[in-house]
Amino acid sequence: MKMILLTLIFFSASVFPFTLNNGAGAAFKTKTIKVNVAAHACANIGITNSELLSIAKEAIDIFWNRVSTSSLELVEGSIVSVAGDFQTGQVCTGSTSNCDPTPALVVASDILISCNNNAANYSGSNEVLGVTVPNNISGSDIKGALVLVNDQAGNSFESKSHAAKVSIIAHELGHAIGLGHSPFREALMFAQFVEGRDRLAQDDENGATWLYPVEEPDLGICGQVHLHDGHQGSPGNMIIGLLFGFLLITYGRKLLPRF
Amino acid sequence: MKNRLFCVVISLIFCTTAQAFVTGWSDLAFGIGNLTHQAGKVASDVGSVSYFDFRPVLQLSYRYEFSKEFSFIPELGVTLPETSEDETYSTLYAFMNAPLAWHYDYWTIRFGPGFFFTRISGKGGTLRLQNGATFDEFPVPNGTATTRNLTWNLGVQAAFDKEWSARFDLSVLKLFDSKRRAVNHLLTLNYHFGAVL
Repeated sequence: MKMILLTLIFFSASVFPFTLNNGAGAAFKTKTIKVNVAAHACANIGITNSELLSIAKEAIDIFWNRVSTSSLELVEGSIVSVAGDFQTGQVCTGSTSNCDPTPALVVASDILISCNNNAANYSGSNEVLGVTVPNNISGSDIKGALVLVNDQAGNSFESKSHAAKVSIIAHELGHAIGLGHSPFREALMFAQFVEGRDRLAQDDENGATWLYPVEEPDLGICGQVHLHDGHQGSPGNMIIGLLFGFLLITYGRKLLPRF
Repeated sequence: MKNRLFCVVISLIFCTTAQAFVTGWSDLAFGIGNLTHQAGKVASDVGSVSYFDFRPVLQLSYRYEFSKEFSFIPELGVTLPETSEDETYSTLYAFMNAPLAWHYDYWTIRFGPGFFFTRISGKGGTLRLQNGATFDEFPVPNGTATTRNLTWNLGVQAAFDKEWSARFDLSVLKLFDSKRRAVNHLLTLNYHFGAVL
């Protein structure tokens, strides 16, 4: 038994960390985060705004809303009218890695996806598919984030397959919720686009879990009653409460007199 | 006088119940094995998944007998920490289950709820990674996050003899959410100490 234990400890797995896109470890504090799409027409990415919104919804459903250990919940928003600066402006006055957000492009709340043709945002490269900056951060609270899709003539996004576009938008949404790049090739947050990516890797999930940890269930004890939209808590809460009470009795047995 | 008698009767009932409660605990077991978290759910490579991860786990359980056939076997388990080479980042999983068990011959079937904990911890710093056409320093997490999932567990145990047994357990997270649902599986070898109370 001792040998097996030592062997297991010796072979204990090694991991690499996921990264963040800001030193504060900022995340959205709202329960749900809307993903909206700017209303202006995209000239060079080969899809309409409605299609871009539909792709964003797929990115949410296939990737980010599947993490069992995270409370992260992205929801499909709507097509919203925004200033022309979002189509042509530069997102940061410095570099995107040391970003000083351009005030005109600050997103008031949630996540906004906009196509944008300013070459400075993509280091002058058509190979850069998109750029994302949570450009409205207060302390450790992301208020709003901007996703720019490279809409320059000759961009690489246009020629990608539908599934690839979904994974590219999902990658950018990962930055919007607070994640940086991953060193793992299988991860959605890997810096380079890889064809065939259809789900998150453990590294992506760890990032979403660290930023948006889940705590379930609401035990329904200690006299608290939580009402959501006028509905009572589920009967499951009561069962869990009873189970918790039973465990308390079980482990609290040392308080009982012994003979 | 009546009050005193009432207290004596109540105390006798209480103590008898407590005595029965203590003697019901019949088997402490220690197990070692492997936990696969979210089998078949996350990408092990682009476009593929893995149904088995190497992740050593230690567990401790204690059996409380209701009868010869039925018992309650609360258990605790913890994985060995997975740590980055520079020891600035680690993940650890733990669980606390409260299954009811049915015993038949040398088989035991167990089912019940539990909690699954994920602990992700980082000491900060940065990692230099590609960012578009250049390389940048990305911050790594600084702090600890612990999540708690309610799980529903189903397991089967085969006893080799009085002291040794093997177990296979499935643990479902987010059972009623088809998108987030995930299955962990646990394979352990257990040593039974018997009653130690």
